[in-house]
Amino acid sequence: MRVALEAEEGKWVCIKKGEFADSPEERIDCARLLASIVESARRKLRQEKGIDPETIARICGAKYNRRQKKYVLKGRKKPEQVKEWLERVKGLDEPDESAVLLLEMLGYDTVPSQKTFEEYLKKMSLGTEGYCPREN
Amino acid sequence: MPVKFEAAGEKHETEDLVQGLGRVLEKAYPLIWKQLDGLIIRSELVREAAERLVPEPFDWKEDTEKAARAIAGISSPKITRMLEPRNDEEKEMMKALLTRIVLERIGMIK
Repeated sequence: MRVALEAEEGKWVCIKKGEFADSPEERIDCARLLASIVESARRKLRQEKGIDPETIARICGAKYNRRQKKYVLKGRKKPEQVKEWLERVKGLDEPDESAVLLLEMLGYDTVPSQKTFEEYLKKMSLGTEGYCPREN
Repeated sequence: MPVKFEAAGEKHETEDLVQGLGRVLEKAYPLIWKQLDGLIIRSELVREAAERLVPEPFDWKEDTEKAARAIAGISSPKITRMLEPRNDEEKEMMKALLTRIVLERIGMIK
């Protein structure tokens, strides 16, 4: 499968390309490239739509984590709290995208982090968990 | 060319940056999981869990209480037991896919 993104706006340029065969290891590489495309597209889209992470962070009390380079709210979240925060983002200009960003701050990512991805693949390729993608 | 995107034999090109990037997300998101499907995570278990959390799709903006319960349920011990992750990384991978399906079912993402 061929995957290619070319996007440009002012000084912002994003070019990501790859061609992959239908083998387990190439499907994983393809997923990795797609995840990177999603991350770049999402970041730029939020910027273009004027979604301010600080505004969302103030709603739920998330703090900026320098190591992770994002706002994070640790600990277990009660449904009542989540409901209250959803009610507040519902009133913003871009409710769906703002709600997705809120949930990312709460630890609900829709794409695994690059670190998790790599650690998982490493663990699985060692064959210690009963599956070895590189041998299939 | 603000945005040109090609994947799985489909090509999209638009001069509208916001519309183009929106389409990239719409197309690329499901493809990530399609590439991994059956390969490294047991996605059938994740789909079952998502259907338990959100039996019928609805719009989160119409019922934030129901949406909040479904979201909080993603990391509940009951759902984690149902997913049977074999290690912490697999747990995170499955949680990400589960989050995506739940958010789709409550209309937060396309």
